[in-house]
Amino acid sequence: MAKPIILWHNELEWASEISCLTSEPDYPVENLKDWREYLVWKSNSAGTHTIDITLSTHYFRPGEKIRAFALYNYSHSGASTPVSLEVRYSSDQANWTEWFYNDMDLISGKPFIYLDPTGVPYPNIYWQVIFHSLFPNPIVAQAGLMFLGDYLEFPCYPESGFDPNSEEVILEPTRSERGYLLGIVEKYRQRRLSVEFPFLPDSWVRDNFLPFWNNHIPKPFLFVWDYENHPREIYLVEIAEPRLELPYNPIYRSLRLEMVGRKA
Amino acid sequence: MGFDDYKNALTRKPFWLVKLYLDQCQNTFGQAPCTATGDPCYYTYPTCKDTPNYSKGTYVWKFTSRDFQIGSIYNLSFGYLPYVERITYIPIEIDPKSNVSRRGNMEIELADDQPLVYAVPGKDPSPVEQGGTFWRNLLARNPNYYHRIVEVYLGFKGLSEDDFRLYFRGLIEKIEIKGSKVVITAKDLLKSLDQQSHIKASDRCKLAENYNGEMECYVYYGEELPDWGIIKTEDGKYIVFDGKIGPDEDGKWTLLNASYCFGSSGTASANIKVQQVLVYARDNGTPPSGGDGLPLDWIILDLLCNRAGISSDYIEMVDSGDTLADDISAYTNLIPVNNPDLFPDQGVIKIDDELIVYRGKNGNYLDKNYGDPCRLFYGHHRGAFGTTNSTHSQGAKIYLPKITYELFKWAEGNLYRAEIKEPKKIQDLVNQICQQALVYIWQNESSKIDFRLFSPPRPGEVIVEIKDDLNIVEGSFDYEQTPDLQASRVIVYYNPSKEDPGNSPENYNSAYMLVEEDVENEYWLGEVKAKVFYANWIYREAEASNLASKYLLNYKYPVRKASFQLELKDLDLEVGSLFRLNTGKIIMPDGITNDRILAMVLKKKFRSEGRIEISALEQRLSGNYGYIAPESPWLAYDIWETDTTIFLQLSDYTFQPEHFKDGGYLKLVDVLGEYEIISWESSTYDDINQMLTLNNCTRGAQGTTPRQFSAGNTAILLYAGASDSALSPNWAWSGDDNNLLDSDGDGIGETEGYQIF
Repeated sequence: MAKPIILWHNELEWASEISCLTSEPDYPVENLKDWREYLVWKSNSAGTHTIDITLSTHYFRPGEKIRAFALYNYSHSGASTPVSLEVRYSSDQANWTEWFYNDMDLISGKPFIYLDPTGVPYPNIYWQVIFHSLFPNPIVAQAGLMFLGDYLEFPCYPESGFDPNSEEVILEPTRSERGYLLGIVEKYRQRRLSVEFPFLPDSWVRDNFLPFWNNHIPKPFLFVWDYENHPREIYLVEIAEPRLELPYNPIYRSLRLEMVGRKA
Repeated sequence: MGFDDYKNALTRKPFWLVKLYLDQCQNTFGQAPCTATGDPCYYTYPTCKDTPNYSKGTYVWKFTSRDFQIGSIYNLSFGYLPYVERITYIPIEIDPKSNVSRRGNMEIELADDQPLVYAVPGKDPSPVEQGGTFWRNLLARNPNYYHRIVEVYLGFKGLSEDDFRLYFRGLIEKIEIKGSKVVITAKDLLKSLDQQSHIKASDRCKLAENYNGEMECYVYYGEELPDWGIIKTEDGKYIVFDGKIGPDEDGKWTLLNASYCFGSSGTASANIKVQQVLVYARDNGTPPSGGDGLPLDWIILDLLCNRAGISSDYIEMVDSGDTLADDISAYTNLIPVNNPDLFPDQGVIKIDDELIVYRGKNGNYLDKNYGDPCRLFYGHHRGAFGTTNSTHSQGAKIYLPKITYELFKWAEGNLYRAEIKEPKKIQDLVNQICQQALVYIWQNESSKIDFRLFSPPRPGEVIVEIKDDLNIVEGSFDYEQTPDLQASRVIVYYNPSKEDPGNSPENYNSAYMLVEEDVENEYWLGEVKAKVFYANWIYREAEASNLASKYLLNYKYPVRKASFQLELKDLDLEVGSLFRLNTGKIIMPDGITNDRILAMVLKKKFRSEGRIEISALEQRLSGNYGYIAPESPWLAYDIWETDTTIFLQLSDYTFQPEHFKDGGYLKLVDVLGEYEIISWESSTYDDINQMLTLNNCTRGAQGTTPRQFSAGNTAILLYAGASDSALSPNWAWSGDDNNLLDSDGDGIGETEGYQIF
C-alpha cells in the first residue's frame, strides 16, 4: 500500500504553449489546464492525437522536477478498448526522451496517473502527450483535466477509520397528506473524504505541507489515497473547511483533512 | 427509458437545460467576405469591425443545472456549462376576477464563473479571454440580447438531450448581474401582444386622387399603411386592397386590387385622410352596427398571428381526424374532405404548413369563398396567418387550431364583431375578446399557444383526480372562499353604436341582464353584487345571454380557491387543466369529504426540484350538459320477453363495440315509446357485419317490464360498465367514478351518472 499523495503543482497551468492539431474547435486543448472539469478538450476526429506542451521557463525553474502526470475525466470512443498513452520530453524539440509508454493502459471513463519519484528536471520544457490510436480502432479522445507537475506525498498512512469511498447523497423525499411516499428527488451526490494523520513530523509539515497549503488552498487538487493498489481512485477535491489546524501531539503534529468533491 | 419513465420513477435526479440563442456572425474573422483586420472581434454585431459584411447567425449556449452534465463521460457528450441554479416558472396566471390571463415571467438564475479560454467557442480565430467573468464578458459582447430566444428543458440524469422535454420557450427580456449570480428574465411568446394592433397613419397619409371604386387606389405616404388590409377615409368610406407599390416620382403609392367594401360607394375625394382600420365583420353591412360577425377563432388568430406576428408554428393544433380527399393546388378554393361533419361550418384548418380560412361548407368541400366576403382576410384565405399557400396531396392530414376545435365543440355559431379604428395594444384587444367570449389563452408547457373555452370537461377529456393520499404533499393544502368573485347579477352592454365604445353604457344599443334572486335575497347575500361587461365585440343577444348565464352559473356562489403542492410525478397537471379535487380538507355540510370538486389550474410554479405549487379555482360548470353522442344502434332482429341474447346493429356513426363494457345497461324503446331496461354480462362483435351480440342479458332491469321488440327499435346506451376504460371518460363525463346509472332520472347526485343522449 502506498501513502496518500496530493497532486497540486501543475506546471501545465502556467505552460507558455499548449496545442493540438486535432482539437475540436468547441473543445480547445487549453481546457486541459483549466480545473473546471466540465471544460474539456476533445479531438476532432478518430486517430492518433498529439498534444504539444511548452512549459514556462519562468515557472519551471532549475531544481524543480516533473514527477507526476495525470488525466482526469478522460474518455474515448470505442469505450471498451483501452488505448496506449505515450509521454515524452525534450529540452530542444529535436531529441526526445520517452518518459513512459503505457501500452493499452488508458481506459475510457477512468482517471490515469503516472508517478516518477526521480522526476524530469529543467530544462526539459518541451513535452508531448500522445494518444496512440491503433488500427482498427482509431479513437476520438477527450479529457477534462491534465496534470503535469509535482506531488506531495504524506510520510505516513491515514489513521484507521479512513473511508476512501465515503460519499453523501442529498435527497428530497416527498410524502402525501396521508403519509405515502410520493417520490424522491436526488439533488446531488458528493464525495466527502475525511483523512487523519496523527503523527506527522514537524519538519515535514513545515517543509512540505505548509507550502502546499499556503500556495494552493483553496484551489482544488487531485488526491490519490493509494496509487499502488488503487491507481484509478483519483479524486478531484477541495478542502471542505479551509481551516489550518496542526496541533502538536506532543512531538508529532496531527492533521485532519476534510475534502469534498463532485461525485458523478 | 424515456422522460415519463424517469418522471414517474420513485427516485430520480431532475435537472434543467437552458438554451440561449444569441447572435453570432457566420463569417470567419479576416476571411472573405470579412475584410476586418487586427485583433479578432467577438463575432457579434456590436463588436464587428466590418459591419457591412456581418452575417447574422446563431450560437446556442447550453447551460445545465449545477453539478451535472448531460449523458455520461462514456458517451462523449460534454459541452454544457453547469451554471443553472434555479428556475422560477410562472407561465401564466389566470386572473379569475377579470377572466383573462396574465403573462408570467420565467426567471432563470445562473452562477457566474471564470471566463472560458476562448471568448467565442467554435471560432478560429477567437479572442483569448484576458479577464472579467463569463457573464460579464458575454453581456459586454452581446448587448443586443433583447428578445432573443431562450428555451428551458427539463430532463433527468440518464436521459440524452434529445429526450429532454421542452418546458418553456420565450423571449429574453433582460439579463441582470446580481453579485455572483445572473438572472435571465424571459417572457413567453405572448409578449408580442404588447405591440400596437396596427399602424396609425399620420395626417399626411391621404388619397392622392379621387377614388371611385377602381382597382387601383392612389395615396400619399403609403408606407404608413399595411401591405394589405382595409383603410377608411376620414368621411367614413371603406376601401380594401391586397398589395401596394410605390412611391413613384410624385410620392404616390398605388394600392392594388382595391375596391369599396362595407357598403361604401361614390367618390372619395383626393386629399382626404385615410387610415388603416381593423373590421372584424363580414362584408354584408356597414360597421359598427352592420355586417355579420366573425367566429372567435378568426379573430383570435388574426390578433395573434397577423397583428402580433406570432408564428402559426406556435399555435396549438389538434388532429381533425380527417384527411384531404384529393390533391389541391396552391390556389384551390374548394378543399375536398372525406367527412365534413368533422369541421365547423366556418373555420380554420391546417394542412402541412399552410393555414386556410374557409367561410363555409359546400357538400364534401370546405369553401374559402362561401357566403359574404370577409375583408379582414382579403386575398389571404389561403396561406393565412403568415403561412404560404402551396400544393397539398390527397391523404394529407388536416388539423384544426385548438381554438377552432374548442369553438366547434362548445360555441359553434357564436359570432363577434368590432371595428378597431384607433390602434390599441393587442393585449388589450385579446383581453377584451377573451373576457367577452369566456376563453382563456396561454402558452402551454409545450410552448404552444393554447386555448380553452369556459366550459365543463370535454367529452373524451381525461380528468385527473388529485387526492390526499396519492398526490397532495403533506401540510401543503390550503383553501379560501372568494367572495370577491361572487356575482348575483350580470349586466352585459352590447351592440355598440360606435367604434371603440369603451366603458360607457350610452355607447351601446342593447343591454342584457341576468339576476339570481336566490342569491340576492336576505337569506344569502342580502345585497346586489353586479358584474358588468362592456361587450364591444358582442352584437347579438345570443352571445350576450351566453356570457351572462355562464358567468353567473360559475360565480353566483363563492367559489373556492385552493393552493397545494404536488410531487414531480404530477408534473403533467398543466395550467388551464381541469381536475377533480378529492381532499379531506374540504367537506360537505354532513361532514363527508367532497370528492367531486371540479377545479382549474390557475398557476403553477416550481417550489423546489421535486415539488410544484398549484393554485386552482373551483369550477361550477360540471352540471348536466347535453352532448351529442354517437347515434344509438338498433335491434338487428326481433326479440321476445324471454330472450337473453340480443343482436345490435352498429354502423360507423353509432357507438362502437368498445363502448359496450361488460355489465352495462341499455334501454330499448319501441315506436310507441314503450321501453325496457336491459343489462348484459358480456358481448361479442362481428366486425364484418358490424353486429354486436349481448350475452346473458337480464331482462326488465331497474324495475322495468320485459317486452317484445322489433328489429329496428332503438337501443339507447345508459351505462357503460364500471371498467376504467369504460364509457365514462368518453361520454358519461359528468358521471361519478363508477359511472352509475341515474336511477331517478334527475341527472344529479353524488352517486349517479347521466343518461347518454
